Amino acid sequence: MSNVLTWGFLRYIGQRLAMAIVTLWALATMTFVFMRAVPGDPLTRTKEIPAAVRANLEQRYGLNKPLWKQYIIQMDRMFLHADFGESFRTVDRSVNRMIIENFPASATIGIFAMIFGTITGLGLGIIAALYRNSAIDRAAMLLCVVGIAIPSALIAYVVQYFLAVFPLVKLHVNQDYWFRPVGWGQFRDVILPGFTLSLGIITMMTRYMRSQMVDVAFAEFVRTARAKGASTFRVITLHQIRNAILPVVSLLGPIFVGAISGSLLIENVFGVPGLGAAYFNSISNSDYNVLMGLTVFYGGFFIVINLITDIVYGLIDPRIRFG
Amino acid sequence: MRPMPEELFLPLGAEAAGAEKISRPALSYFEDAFLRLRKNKLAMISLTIIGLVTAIGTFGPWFFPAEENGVPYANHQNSNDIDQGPSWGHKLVVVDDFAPVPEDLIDQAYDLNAPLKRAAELTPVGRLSVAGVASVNGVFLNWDIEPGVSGYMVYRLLVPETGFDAKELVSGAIERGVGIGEINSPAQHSYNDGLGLDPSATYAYSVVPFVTDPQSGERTYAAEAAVVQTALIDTIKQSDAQSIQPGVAVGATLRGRAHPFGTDGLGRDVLARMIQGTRVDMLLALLVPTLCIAIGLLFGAFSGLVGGKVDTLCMRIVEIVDNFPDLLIFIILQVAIGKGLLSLVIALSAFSWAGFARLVRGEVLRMRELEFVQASRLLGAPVSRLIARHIGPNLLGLIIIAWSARIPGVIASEAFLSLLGLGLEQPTPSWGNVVFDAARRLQVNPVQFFLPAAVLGITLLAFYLLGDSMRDAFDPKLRGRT
Repeated sequence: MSNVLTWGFLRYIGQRLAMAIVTLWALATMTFVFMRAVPGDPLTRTKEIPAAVRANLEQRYGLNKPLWKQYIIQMDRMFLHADFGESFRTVDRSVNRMIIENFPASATIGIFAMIFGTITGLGLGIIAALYRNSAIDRAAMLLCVVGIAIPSALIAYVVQYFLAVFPLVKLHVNQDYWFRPVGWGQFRDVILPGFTLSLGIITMMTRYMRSQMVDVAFAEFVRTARAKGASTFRVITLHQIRNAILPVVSLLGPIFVGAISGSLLIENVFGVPGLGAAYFNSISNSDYNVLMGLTVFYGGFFIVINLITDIVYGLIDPRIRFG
Repeated sequence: MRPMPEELFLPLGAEAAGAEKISRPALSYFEDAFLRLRKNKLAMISLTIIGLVTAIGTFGPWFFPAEENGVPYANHQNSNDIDQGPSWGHKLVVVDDFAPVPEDLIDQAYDLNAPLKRAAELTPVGRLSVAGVASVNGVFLNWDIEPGVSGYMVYRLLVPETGFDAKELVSGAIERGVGIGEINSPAQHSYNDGLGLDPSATYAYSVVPFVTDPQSGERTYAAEAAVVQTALIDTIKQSDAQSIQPGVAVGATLRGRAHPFGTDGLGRDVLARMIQGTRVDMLLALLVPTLCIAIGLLFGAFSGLVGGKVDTLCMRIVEIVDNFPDLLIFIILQVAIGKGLLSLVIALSAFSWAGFARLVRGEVLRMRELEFVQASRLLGAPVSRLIARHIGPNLLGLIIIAWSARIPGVIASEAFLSLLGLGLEQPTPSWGNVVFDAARRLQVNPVQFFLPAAVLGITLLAFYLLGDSMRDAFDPKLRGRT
């Protein structure tokens, strides 16, 4: 790790950080421009509000100020004070609180999917590579194609029907122990959405691990180990898997991002109280603060994760040099 | 050694000189790629599926009526046909729009071999009865007025296949089912139920009288209900029948419309919607990748060819665009430009070109240094010739690969946007709309979801596998492998 604290590395991190901030700022600005370009505002509802009430509300939320002032206020509040403001729809519910209360549910599913998917995918990839061109390999590859090509929401409904609805309605399994089609609060409720999300992760991991394992299998150090008389088990675990698994680390960042944003899409199906519903409702309600806050929150989250992945990967792989 | 005959050692004729030359006709890049593609069985199956889907999307609508009651057929709602399973058309009796179906009409026009087609009254006094014959158009309930009550609640129970004890239903020992009507008048003693009736089901109706306390407004329900059980016959309202067979009279029988994929919760034909939606999705699958690749190509080639500071700036822009989370971009753009096909095209392509731009730039930079390009430059060829003659054709494989690889993603994104209510405006059908409308009612009508979902899934798989095979066929680096 002698290459860690070089000037090149520090400059690299500095560059990436600057880039991340610019990206985040561009995302926030674009959101602001697009939000305000849409006809309608958060105070427009099906029922007309009296002019006096409207003026009061605009005063309260600062909507009567000129646009550029609103922009500066919002940017200042978000980036310098880490305050995303309050929802226009729900009284006394700030976006920060929304994130604190609802993000854990989204994150739980994402993390479960990531752990389950990574382990299963690694295992499947290793087995597929060891038994290349066998039936197991083909089955694994078929699963991968399905996992890539079919949207997770579609899979979510199929999983919900066959693993929850059908057993409950047609097979009359014990409701207290079996999966609930919709629900939250117990561990079993994490499994179906987590499993659905993990399919994409399994796919990615399996393909990557398989190709890595196949590459490593022909490497010279593996041949050397065999020639020295090491047992097959030792060669596979200590030489092949150990070397093949390293590049997989670079996948963990994108996978985590995919799992967390993917959970937004499917939590609605399983009734998970995550941020998805609030986020998508904020669009049709033109709830500026929620839309802006969650966009910046997720955007920032993804950008930071990507940054961390790159740095960590640089730290563990001595072949990568910065600067 | 045996002597060899002289005739074995004749000189070789001049025409046979080339006999051992190893040569085949020269293959151009594309001929070679298509040959490889043709040999790939999976690719050919995928191509067949895609061709089939496209053909059905193109010619399918001709097999449906264009309009019904002034509404495009795919959007036409038929309250008679709600949540039906797949069928080639039921035999239907034409009935008056509003009146109960008379018994004699059914006897002459409809085959009543099936048992229990008529109402079986379960209460000993027969206080509750069905007027005429119960049909999917309506069940007309009549009952005797109960003296001294303020109104009646009407319940409907879907009779399970295992049957039930009528006495328990009378006494309320088992659930009476869905409350379908509340009558707040002591004088009214009839009710017409027309709420999503299923011709294959048997229903048990219960009518429970109640008394409202004039002071507190509190209700007291009678302990016992009047109960009637009935099966339904398939009918069609005269006004609806006109579009199938103009001028048809009450009492005639006709075959209803075929619904090979069944109907949805609003009585719309699912297959017609899927076919109409195919057009939307195929249009997106054609337009969006083309747009993405056009932008990416221009941007990447520009950046790579100009080089220097401009290149650095361009790559920074690409980095920013690439860093935007896709989903957030779709959503924000949809918000900004509203709903509709055009905005869907823009939303799906506006920020999805960055990856391809990067790829093109890398390739252009690499190719600029290749010997044949250098040679051409040395000979004084202008940049336009370099692009047209050397760099352009060599990018073609890359373009085809990227183009085919993007299609399944576009279709999947359309579906996701529909799921979130950000796709095309209802009732315009797209695959995403059809599949996820059905998904929300999965517990009521699974068939309506699984058939379109299978079509969507299989098409996506086909596009994905084809894209994979295209990469294998068009990527020169893979040549010689597999």
